[in-house]
Amino acid sequence: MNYKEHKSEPFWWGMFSQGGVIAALLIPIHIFLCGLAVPLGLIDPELLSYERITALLQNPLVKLYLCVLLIFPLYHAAHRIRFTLAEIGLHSLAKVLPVLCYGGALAGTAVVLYILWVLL
Amino acid sequence: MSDLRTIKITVLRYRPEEEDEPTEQTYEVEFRDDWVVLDALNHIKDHIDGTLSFRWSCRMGVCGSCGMMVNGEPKLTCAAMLRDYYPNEMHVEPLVNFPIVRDLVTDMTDFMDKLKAVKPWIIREEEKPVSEGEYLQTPDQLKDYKQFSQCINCMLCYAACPVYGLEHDFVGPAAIALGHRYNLDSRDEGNQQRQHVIASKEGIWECTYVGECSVVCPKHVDPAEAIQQTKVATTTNRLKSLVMPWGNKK
Amino acid sequence: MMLDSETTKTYTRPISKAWWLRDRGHFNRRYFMFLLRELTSVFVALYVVIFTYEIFLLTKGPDAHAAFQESLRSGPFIVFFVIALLFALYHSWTWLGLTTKMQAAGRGLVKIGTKTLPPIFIALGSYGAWIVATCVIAYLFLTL
Repeated sequence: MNYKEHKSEPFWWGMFSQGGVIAALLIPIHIFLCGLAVPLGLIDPELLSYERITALLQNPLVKLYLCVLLIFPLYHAAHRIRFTLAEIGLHSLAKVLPVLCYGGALAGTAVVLYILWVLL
Repeated sequence: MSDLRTIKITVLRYRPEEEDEPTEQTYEVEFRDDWVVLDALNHIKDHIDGTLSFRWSCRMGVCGSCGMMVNGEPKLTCAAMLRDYYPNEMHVEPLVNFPIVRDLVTDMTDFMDKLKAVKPWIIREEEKPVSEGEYLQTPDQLKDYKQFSQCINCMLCYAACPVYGLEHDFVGPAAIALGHRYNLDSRDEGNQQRQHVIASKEGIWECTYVGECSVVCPKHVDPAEAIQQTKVATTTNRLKSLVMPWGNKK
Repeated sequence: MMLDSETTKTYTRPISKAWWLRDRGHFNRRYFMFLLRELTSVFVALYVVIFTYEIFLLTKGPDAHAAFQESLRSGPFIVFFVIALLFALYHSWTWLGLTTKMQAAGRGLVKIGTKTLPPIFIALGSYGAWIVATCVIAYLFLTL
C-alpha cells in the first residue's frame, strides 16, 4: 500500500467538528423555542411575529449569529451523512458521496448567505 | 467432583482441503468453575477431537494469540470464564474481518503489514552514541503515551471495527494507536515518517468513531481516542500551517 | 503466521449490510446506538432547512410568514419537532461526552504545563457551556 497524507480531509473534518459543537450547544434550544414552545402556545406567539422578527434581523449581529447557527451544522451533517450512507450499504459510492454531501453543504451556505445578506 | 458442570460449545470449523465454506460442530465439555474458554478448547483438543485448530500461547492475557469471537464478541479466550456463559450454549468463532486459515485460526498478514507501516519504534534524527547515556524521560512524559503502549496486538479491535469490516484498506485501531504512542513519546522524532500513513485517506479519516475498538480492548488502550486525538492534532496543525505558513514546519 | 495468499485457500466471511442491526447472528446494542448518534445529523440538517425556509418567507411578506407559523401548529409538525428535539439532545449529550473521553485517554487534548488537565474540567466546561448557551439564547429570544 502506498500511503499519502490527505490534504482536504482535515478541512472537512474541521468543519464537521466546528458544526458539531455549534449544533450541540445551540440547536436543542432553538428547536424547543421556535418548533414547540411558540406553536404549542407555551410562550407568547407574538415573539415570532413578522414585525418582531424583521426588526430583529435589522441587527447585523443577529444576522451574523444566524449565519453561524445555520452554516456550520450543514457541514457537520454533510460529513456524517457521507460516512453513514457508506456504512449502511452505499460503500460502492464512497467516491461520489463526498462530492454530493459537501456540495450540498456548499450550496446551502450560498442560499443562507443570499437570503440573509441580499434578500433581507 | 461436585463442581463439574457440562456446557455445550459450538465451534466454527473450516478445513480448506475438505470444504469450501465453514461449518459448525458442537462439543459437550465438562468444566470446573475456574475454567476459561481456552481451557475448554484445550480439553476438546486433548480429549474429544484432536483435529481442532486454534492459536494460543501464554494463557494469561499477555501474548494476544487467543482472540476469538465468543458469542459474537471479540474476546481473549484465556480471559473469558465459562461460568459467565453457563447454562446457555456458547458459540466460538475465529475473529471476524480476517480470512480464516483453518478452524479458529485467522490470517493476520494484513494487520502485520499495517503495523510495520506506522513504524512502531523510536525514531531519532540522529542516534547519540551509547557512551552519552540513555534518553531520559520524566514521569509526566511517560504518562502521555503509557496507556497507548499497552497494546498486545491481539487484533480484537479490528474484529470489533465495522469500518475495517467494510473497508479493508483502513489502517485500523491498533496500528494507528501504536503510531500515536510513538508520536507522543518525548524521545521520538519520527512524527513526519508516520504522518503520511496515519493521516492518509486510509488512516484516521476513514474512522467514524464507532468506539467499539476501545470497548473490546483487553488492555484499555483506547484506540478510538488515540485516533480522535490524532484527527484534532492533524487538523490544528494544518490550520496553523495555513494561517502561519512561515511557522515551524516540523 | 504469514501466509502466501496465492497458495493458501482462506475463507473470509463478509460483513452484513445491516451490521448495526444484526451481524453474523448477533445484535450489538452499541452498534445500534452508534447509528442513532449518526442519524442525529439528518435531523440537524432538516432543522437547518426548515429554519432557513422560515427566514426566506420573511422576504415574501407578513401573510406568507403567518401562514407558515399557522401550519407549524399542525400535528405532523409538532410530532416532527418532538422527534427532532430528542435527536438534537442526543447529539448534544454524545458530542459533549466524547470530548471528555478524548481528554481522558493518554495525553488528552489539553495540557496545563506538563500535566494533562483532568477530564472532569472538560466535562464541566462543555456541559456548562451547553447550559449557559441555552439560557442566554432563551433569555435573548424572550427579551430582545
